[in-house]
Amino acid sequence: MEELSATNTSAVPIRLGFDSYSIRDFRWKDIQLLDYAASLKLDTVQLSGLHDYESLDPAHLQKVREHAARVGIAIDAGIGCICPLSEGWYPNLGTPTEYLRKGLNVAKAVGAQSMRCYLGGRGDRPQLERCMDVTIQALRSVRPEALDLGVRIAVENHSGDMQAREVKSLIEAAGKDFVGSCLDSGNPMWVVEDPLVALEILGPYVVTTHIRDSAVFEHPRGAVAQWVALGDGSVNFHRFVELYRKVCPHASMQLEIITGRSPTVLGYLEPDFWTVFPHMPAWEFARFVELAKSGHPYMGPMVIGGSGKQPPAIEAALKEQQRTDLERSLEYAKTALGVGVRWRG
Amino acid sequence: MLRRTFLQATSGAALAAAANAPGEGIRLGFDTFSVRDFHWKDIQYLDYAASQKLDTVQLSSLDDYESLDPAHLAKVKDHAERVGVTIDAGIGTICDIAKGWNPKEGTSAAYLRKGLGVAKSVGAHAMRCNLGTREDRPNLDRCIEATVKTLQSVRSEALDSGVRIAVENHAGDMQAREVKMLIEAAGKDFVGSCLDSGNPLWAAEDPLLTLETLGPYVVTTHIRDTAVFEHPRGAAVQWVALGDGSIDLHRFVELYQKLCPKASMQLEIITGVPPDILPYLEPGFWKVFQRTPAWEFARFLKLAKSGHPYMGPMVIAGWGNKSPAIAEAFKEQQRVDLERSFEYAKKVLGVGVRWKS
Repeated sequence: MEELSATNTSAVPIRLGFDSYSIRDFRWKDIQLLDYAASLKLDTVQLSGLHDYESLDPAHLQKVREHAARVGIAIDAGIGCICPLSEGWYPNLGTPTEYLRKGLNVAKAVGAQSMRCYLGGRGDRPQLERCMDVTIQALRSVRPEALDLGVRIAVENHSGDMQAREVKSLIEAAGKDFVGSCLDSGNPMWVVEDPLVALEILGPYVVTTHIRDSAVFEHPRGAVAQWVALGDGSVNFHRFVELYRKVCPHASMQLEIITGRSPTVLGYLEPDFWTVFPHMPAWEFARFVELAKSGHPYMGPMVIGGSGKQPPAIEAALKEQQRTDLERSLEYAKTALGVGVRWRG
Repeated sequence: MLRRTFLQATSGAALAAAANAPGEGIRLGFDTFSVRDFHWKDIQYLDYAASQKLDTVQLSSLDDYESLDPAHLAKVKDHAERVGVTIDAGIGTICDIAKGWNPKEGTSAAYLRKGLGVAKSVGAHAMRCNLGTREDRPNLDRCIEATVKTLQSVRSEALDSGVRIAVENHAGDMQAREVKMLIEAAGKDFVGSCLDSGNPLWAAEDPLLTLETLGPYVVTTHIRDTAVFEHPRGAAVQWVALGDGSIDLHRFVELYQKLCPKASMQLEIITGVPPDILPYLEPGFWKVFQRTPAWEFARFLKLAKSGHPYMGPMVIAGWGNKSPAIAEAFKEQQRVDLERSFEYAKKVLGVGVRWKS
C-alpha cells in the first residue's frame, strides 16, 4: 500500500527538500547545499540561517540565485530569532526590524518567496504573551517591505515556544497577507501537541515547513519524546501527508531531520508542568495522550551524543549520522509517502 | 544524591561512602569482551586492569592470548603476579550440538581440556564457558544433556588442575534454574556458575532471582546493568553501563556479599545494542519457556513495570558491520562505559579491594 501511494500520479504533488540544519556539521554553504539537493533529485532547499551563505554580498547572492535556477532547486530563505525579549535573541543583530529587513533582502536576492524565522524557545513560555506582542510589532514594522519584495515571512513553532493555536493568533494579529507559518512537525512534542493537530490548525497558513518524525511513548512522569528519522517514529505520516495535500499542497516539504539527541521527558502528570500551558484546551492535549499511548521508544541504531563538547570520535559519528538519517528520510518521503516532484522525472 | 554529584565527591568522602557500601571485600575486574574492539591481548589487558587499580580480569576467550605457547602463558602468569591482577580464564561454546559450536575445536572434551590447560598455565582457578544462545532453546534438553556429558568427561582433569569450570547463563540460552540443574547433574565439585547479570533479561528473568538461584554455585561473573521497560508487545530490555539501568544493584551486591563474596565481580559492559523486545504478550514467545514457573516470571514483570527506557547518550549501532566513523565511536564508547562502570562499582557499590589501599 505504501509503495502504491508513492506512485499515485493523481495525488497532488508536493515539493520535497531539506532544511540546511539537518546536515549542520558539514558546514556547507549555499552552492554546496544546492548541489547536494540537486544530486538527491530534490525540488527545493531551505537555507534557514544567514550563516548558510558564503557571503551576503549582493553579487554573491545573485550568483546563488542563478546557480539555484541552473540546478533547478527553489530556495526557501530563513533567519533566526526575531523577538528581542527572547532568551535566543542576539543583540548584535541590531533591532528586530533591521534583522527582518536584512533577511527579507537576502531572501529576495536569492529568489526566495518565503523566509522562515521564529520567536524563541520553551524558556520563553513564562512570558509568552509579552514575547508575542513584541514579535507582532516587529513583524508589522516590515509589512510594506515584505509585500513589496514578495517574500512571505514564515514564523516557526520553534523549540517549544508556541503551540499551533498560539502561532495562528500571532499570524492573524501580525497580518496574514504577509506572515504565515513554517510548520515544524517535531517541535509540537515539546508542547505536548500532536503534530496532526498542529497541521490541522496551521494548514491554511503554511508557507514552508520543517518535517521530521518523533518517537513518543508513555513514562511514569507523563510521556517521553525523541526525534527520529522519517518513518522511525510514532507519527502517522500517511495521514499527515494526506491532510497536507488538502490544506497546504503548495508549501515545500523541507525535511529537518534531527537525530542523535536523548529522549526528553514531558512531565505532564506533575502539576508544575502546566504552569506554562494555562490556556491549552483539554481536547488538544487528549490527542497528544492518544499518540503517546500508541507509541513506543525508538528501538533502532542511533548515535546519541551527550551534552556539551563531544569526543572527536563521537562528533565524527554524529556528523555521518546527520547525512545518513537525512538521506533515508528523503527516501521514505519519496517512496513511502509519494512526496517530491523531480525524482519522478 | 545524583550519581554525578556522588562521583564528584572528594576521594576521602568516596572512600568513607564506599566503606559503608555493600561491596566491601569483593574483588573487582572486567571481562575482556567489554573492550573487544581494541583487540588487545593478555599483557595489555593485565596492564590496563592494573592501571585501573583492579584486582582481577577475565580473559574470557582463547583469542585473548597473544599465543598459547606454554612459554608465553608462563610469561602471562608471571606478569599477572607482578602487576597484582588475578586471572579468571575462559573459552566459548562447549555444546557440540549448539548453533554456536565451532567444529574446528575438534571435540567438546578436547576444547575443554585445551581451555583447562591454558587456565592452569596462567594461574587461573576458574574457567568460564557457555552452552549456546537463545537460538538453542528449542533444543535445550538435548543441549543440556550433551553438555553435562562433556563436562563429566573432563572431571578428573579439572579436579587435578584446580580449575573450576564456570558455565555461563549465556545470551538467553538458559534460565538460572536450568543452569543450576546442569551444574548439579555434571558435578558441583568441579562445575560452577559464571553468573551473568545481563543475560537473564533475554530469558525474561530478574537478575536478582538469578543470583538467588545460582549464588551458592557462583565462581566468576559477568556483571552489567539493564534498562527494562514495558512495551506494547510485552517488555523491552537494553544493556547499559552500571548504574544507568533498572536493576537494584545495591540489593544485588548485598545478596552477592551473602552468597558468593569470594567470586570475582567481573564487569562485562555491553552498550550500543538497541533494545530487545520480549513479546511475552504473544503466545509464541512461551514455546521455549514451557517450564518457567509463573512466580519467577512475575518477578521479571515487576521489574519491567518499574523501569523505563535508557534516556542518556549512547552510540547505538548493534552487532553487525559499521561504517568507519560509527565503528570508531563505538570503540571509544566501550572504554568510556567500562570505566564509568568501574567508578560506579567502586564508589557507589563499594566493590573492589586494591583501589581502596
